[in-house]
Amino acid sequence: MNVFKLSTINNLNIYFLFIFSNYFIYFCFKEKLFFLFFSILIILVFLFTIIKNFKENKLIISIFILFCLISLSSPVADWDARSIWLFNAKIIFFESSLGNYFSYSPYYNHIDYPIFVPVLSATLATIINGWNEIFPKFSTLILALPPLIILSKISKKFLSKLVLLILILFIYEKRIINGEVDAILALYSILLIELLKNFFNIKKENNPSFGHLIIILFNIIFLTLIKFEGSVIALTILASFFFTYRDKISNLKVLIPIVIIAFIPILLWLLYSNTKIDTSSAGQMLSGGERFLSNLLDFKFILHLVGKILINKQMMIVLIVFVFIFAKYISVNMYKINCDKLILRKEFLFCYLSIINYSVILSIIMIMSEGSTHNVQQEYFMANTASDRYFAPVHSMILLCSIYLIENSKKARLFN
Amino acid sequence: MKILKFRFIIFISIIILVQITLISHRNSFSFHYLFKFYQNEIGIKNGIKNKKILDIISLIKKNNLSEFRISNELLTDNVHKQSKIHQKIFQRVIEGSYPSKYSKDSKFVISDTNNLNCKKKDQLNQIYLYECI
Repeated sequence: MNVFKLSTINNLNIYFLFIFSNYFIYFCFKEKLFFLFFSILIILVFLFTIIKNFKENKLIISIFILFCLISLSSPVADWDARSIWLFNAKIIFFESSLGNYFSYSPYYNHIDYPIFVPVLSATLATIINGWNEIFPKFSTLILALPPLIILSKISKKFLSKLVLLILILFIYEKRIINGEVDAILALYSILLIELLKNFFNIKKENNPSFGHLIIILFNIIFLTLIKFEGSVIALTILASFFFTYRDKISNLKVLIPIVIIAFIPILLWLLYSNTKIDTSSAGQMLSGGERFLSNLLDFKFILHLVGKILINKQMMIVLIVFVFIFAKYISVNMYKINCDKLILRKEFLFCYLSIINYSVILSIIMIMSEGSTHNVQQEYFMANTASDRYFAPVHSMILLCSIYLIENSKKARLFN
Repeated sequence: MKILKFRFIIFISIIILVQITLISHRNSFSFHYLFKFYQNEIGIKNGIKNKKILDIISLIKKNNLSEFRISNELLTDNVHKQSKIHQKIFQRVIEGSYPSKYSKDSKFVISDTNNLNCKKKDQLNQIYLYECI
């Protein structure tokens, strides 16, 4: 049972509260009233969280500190980070209010993308009283810390710690520090799976505290505000959760208002941004699905897309790790395949369902977006450039599933 | 078993260190920036790398322009001989020079040709700033 201590939950709730309050005040009042105040608070709570958790998770926190040093000593260089997230943050930093944010937009910076991460970057720049190419991208590390702490807490065995390291070092690689948001999106998606999985453990121990519900609320809010895909991930995970635990629906009722409240911030942003622009980036990319059927029937494209999704470094590593761990629970003889009951437990079914559902939805989105005039005019542009990046949440979910298998294994005591 | 465990941990530690070194290399890590993250405008040189783009941005900042435009010659991709705008120059200049804004109607023109029919205001290496009225 991986029920977290209330002190950890409360610490992370305060962490999330400061970050969200900063965004929410900026969004509501359209002014950078409290940027300096919140930048100091966020940095302080960030340092406090690192120090507090260092003793318990030395390995992960040490690597995280190393990542902080690398991030603080390297300029932003990658396209998405420089041209979308940090450029939008720079506009927020220099423009006096949110009202002016939409006044200047070159054709490529996706001005209607959620500004949650850019607002945090602009807030951090306030503390150094100027803009540079290094410090604002530290926002992604500030956002990455809470999920990493929770993940390091559930990874108690040596092998699961190893899987977590593979996730950070070989799947996310530089994406966790280069200012892009794909890695933090993936981290928050697996954090949501972990928190929901624990929902029944909390109920069982008769300790359904307010803090546990609030952290789920913040998790969904952050997931939806990081990137548009976050809303799809959140809905997919929630649908998988409700479907898996449909027999306990009466216990899940408390989650419904939380889910409704959690989607309000992204809906408000969508309403606000749609009044300021002609066509949304997502609308231009998907074009209402008009290319879906023709792309689906393009066998060469489908083969290419499937190849790009399955045959890349990240997916290969993830599948090798998962199959290696999963194989322990399956025995095959000439006549039948025997499965260990463990892999059919509800928490695992919830994981498998989330992985399959999101993979299918993401593939449909990628099929729909091929050939968009909004993209660079190259054949199979999205499939070639974004397959590994977009599937980071799927990679993370598969490795999370591997961690669960290791943690629930009674025999896997090697190096335990 | 203990020796095996020890060797395994050493092996894993080496892999971790090698991977972290690789990540820092791919992220343009430089010891030069260590503990200088609070300085204004730091990192632009290593982040952009292209000398021509850096000169354009420096020229815009030096002249404190609120608006500028880039000449067609600069925006033409000479490598691929395409008439479309040179994405890299266009995007990096817009991002790097902000809060100075790109405007098609600006009287200040950045060019790499020395014979534009406008008043030359400033120059940095092979990049020129013209005022066209």
